[in-house]
Amino acid sequence: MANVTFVQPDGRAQSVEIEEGFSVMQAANNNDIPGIAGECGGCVSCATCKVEVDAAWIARIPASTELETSLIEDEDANVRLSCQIMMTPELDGLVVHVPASQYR
Amino acid sequence: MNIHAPVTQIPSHVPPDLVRTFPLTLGSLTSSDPYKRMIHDIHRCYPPVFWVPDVYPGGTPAWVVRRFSDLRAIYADDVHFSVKGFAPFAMFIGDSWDLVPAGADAPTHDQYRALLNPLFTPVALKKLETKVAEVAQHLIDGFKNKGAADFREVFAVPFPVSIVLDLLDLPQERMAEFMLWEHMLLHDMNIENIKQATRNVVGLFREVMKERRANPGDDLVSFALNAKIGDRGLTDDEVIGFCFNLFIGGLDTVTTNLCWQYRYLAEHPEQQAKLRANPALIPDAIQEMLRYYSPASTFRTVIKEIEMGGVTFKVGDKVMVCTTLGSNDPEQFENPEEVRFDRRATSLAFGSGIHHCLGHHLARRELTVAMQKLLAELPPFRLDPQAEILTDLGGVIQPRSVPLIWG
Repeated sequence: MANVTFVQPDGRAQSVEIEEGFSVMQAANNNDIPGIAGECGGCVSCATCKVEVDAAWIARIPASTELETSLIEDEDANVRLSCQIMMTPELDGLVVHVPASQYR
Repeated sequence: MNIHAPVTQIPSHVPPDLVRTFPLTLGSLTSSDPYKRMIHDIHRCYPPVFWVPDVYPGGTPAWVVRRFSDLRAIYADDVHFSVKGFAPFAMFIGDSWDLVPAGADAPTHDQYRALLNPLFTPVALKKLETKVAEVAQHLIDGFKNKGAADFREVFAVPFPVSIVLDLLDLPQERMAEFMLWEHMLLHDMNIENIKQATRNVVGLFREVMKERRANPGDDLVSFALNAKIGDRGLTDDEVIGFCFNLFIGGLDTVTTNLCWQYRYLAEHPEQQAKLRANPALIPDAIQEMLRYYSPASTFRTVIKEIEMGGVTFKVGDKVMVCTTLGSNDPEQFENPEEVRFDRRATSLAFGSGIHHCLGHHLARRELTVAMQKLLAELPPFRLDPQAEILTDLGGVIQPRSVPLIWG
């Protein structure tokens, strides 16, 4: 199991456990974390599971594919689709920030 | 509301007390606003799963599921539910193609989406930005000084439809004809009309395919003709299925949402004023209106027996996946009958799971640009109190007119 912390826009933080091999989006959906929709269930289409990866962690996240990049309009390179971040032992303790809205 | 439907033959696995009439059945028409009472009354009065003898296109039975959580589970479950035959257009005319990608199951579906998703990402759509804004502006310039208009006719139809026609490189001057076919396909219960419209659309695209094979262009039909899955090209049936899918998906749904959004703003001047004062609220407002007015229903076919809501779905049963009901489920949404711009909720407006609407980034962009421009260009508008608005029910819930007045 690996640990992920979701920080809401108001600073409230929730830590959840997820099995390695599952995505950060699944961790959020399994634990009813507000603000992560995941409408398409992780097939890299809807872009409703965006998170901003904490600066301390971004270097450890594998680079995004072209398809993922083309779904994110944000200029901030730390913004990623959480369905594309698969949990590994190296990511245990990961911190991600939830946006105020997935729909803007 | 709680009326049991008169039926002669109910299958033995259907408990008789779950047989219901369903007010949203294709071909029904209402002069009321179905989102004000009808939808919420279904949630108040009906069981979580019920059986309707005539809700599947063509007047045959299907289960209706109204809970958000059950519907999301169906969307995610391709072991028990198949999308094949969710829209029986090909079957009606004796053809064998399926909608691409909406009528394909995994793994073929995933290959189609891998091919198509890159065409509809926000970054890919950037090149349409200027075009979308220009079309909106041009249409608004045409009616803004008139003081009154049927918003459906002057904007809600021509705005999204001209963009889709452009993507397919179909002639803009045939828009009225195409929209008539669209109406026959999606809002008409006369099966002969559905068949005729299906033949018209298929005939149109067979011609276009012939022409684009000879002279390929930068359009989606040419794209499909040249696309590869692995080392194979798409078959003619697959290209027809793709074009047909774009035709029924692209020509009606944004129109529908535009109609509802401007009817809502016309009837709620205080909410309209809020968006005029603070246009930054527009994306969240659109998200909430997409929830409240989720208009579309599709169908699944049961391919493996499963229990849901205390009943057994048998192999071959049809199940209606009604986004309208799921997006207004009071177990999922607090006071769903209220439009709250700051709700920021995930709804079923674009479906859920692997079949989540391919065009939703384009739809959101069009809706956002439309609202930014319309609120900037038109003075506060309201509904014409003299006019009666009729609404078509069925697979897409759409008002036939949105009579606005302003100034």
